[in-house]
Amino acid sequence: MKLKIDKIVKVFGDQEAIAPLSLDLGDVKTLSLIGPSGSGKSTLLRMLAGLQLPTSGTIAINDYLLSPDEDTLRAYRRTIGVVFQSWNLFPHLTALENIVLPLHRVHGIPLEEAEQRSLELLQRFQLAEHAHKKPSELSGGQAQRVALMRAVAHHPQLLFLDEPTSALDPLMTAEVLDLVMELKQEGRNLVIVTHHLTFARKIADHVLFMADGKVLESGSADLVFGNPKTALAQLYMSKTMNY
Amino acid sequence: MFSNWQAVLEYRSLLLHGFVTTVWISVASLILSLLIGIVVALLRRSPYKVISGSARFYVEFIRGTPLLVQILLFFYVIAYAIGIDNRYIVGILVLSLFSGAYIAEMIRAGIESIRSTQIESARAIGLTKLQAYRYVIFPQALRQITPPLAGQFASIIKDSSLLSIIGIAELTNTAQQINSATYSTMESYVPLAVGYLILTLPISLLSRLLEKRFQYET
Repeated sequence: MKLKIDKIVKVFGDQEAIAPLSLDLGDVKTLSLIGPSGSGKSTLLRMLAGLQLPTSGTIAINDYLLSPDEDTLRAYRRTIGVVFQSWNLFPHLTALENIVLPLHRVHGIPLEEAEQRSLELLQRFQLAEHAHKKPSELSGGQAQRVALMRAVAHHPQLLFLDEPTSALDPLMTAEVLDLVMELKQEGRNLVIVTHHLTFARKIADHVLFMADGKVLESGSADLVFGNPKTALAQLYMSKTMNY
Repeated sequence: MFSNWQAVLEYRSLLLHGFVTTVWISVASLILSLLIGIVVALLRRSPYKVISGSARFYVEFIRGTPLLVQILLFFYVIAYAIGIDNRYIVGILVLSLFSGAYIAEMIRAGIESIRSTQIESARAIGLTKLQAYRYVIFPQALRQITPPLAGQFASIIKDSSLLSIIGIAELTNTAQQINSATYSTMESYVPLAVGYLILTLPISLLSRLLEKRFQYET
């Protein structure tokens, strides 16, 4: 993906969530956003995913300029996939229906074909036996993997993951991260916000370390993790990488 | 005690007619009040203060005044002013306006009980606002609303008895007529109570059943 951010600012009330930020990344396959809570990484991801507008400044993804117009923005969102921390799935629909709904209603794929495609996807990732279960009958890890299926079913150009494992226990986390890794190996482009630094390092070819709404470090995973330049990033890595 | 069932029995077709009138007035009012409820609930969520304020005023006015007062006001003042002289239409309208306010609050509570992350997810997968309401918000809200809605239907049936005051020949009005024709109070009013129970008991059973069926974790 190509990412060009030009002087974006995001203000909530009198709080500056993103300080003026400019960034120009040429060819990134997987981008990890890391940093302490409240650093603005989720806000940045939500702006990149077209779910929130910057207060000022512009964002262009793969040379496509994100417009402040809701209709245009929705058209953009149809070309991407998003997974949140939790409560992604619609509880009144089964796992299968959750995947079928956007395929059929948003992307206009005939119902039968959408169901077929969704089932194949669930089969491929060992979730077929859960196809007809409601989210409340799934474990957190299963639900999150179904959410991933829903996010990739329409072959999005980009997949955004906002702390996809924060609400899961270690085993479920492993299940979900395995799947994310598989999706990357399929060649999908990802933007991921995560507190799993080892995973972030393993999966990303570019890492942004953020704190207080600023990007303090930007570079390859080895560079940001192995040789952080700012004191804050050094402290953060040394404290967190111990565990 | 002198019993007068025989005299009342002669009026059974009149009573049955009143029963049927109560049923169709209640059903018509339920449908209309459901429409009013949906519209008002959406208006209350409007970002425009004038619109949400007016909707709120309507709800507060209805909930703050007795139905009997609304029936009198609507029948003798408003309906007269706008020239509706069919008392059945007036009856259905006033009952629907009354019940609509309560249903609007149920629907609003139902919609507001949907987590914001659900709406966020709906946006993220590219649904339009209308689609989000249609496929995500309403189906979930409906499960919350259905049990109290069934209860509201039972209320409409019971409240329709007040329409007897403007001379609508529903169940209560009919029983009053029979009472004045036969001078048999018990024989007129016991069947009246039973008539309402026949209608409301199945509904309250249904309401409880629905409550159980729609229980799931979100």
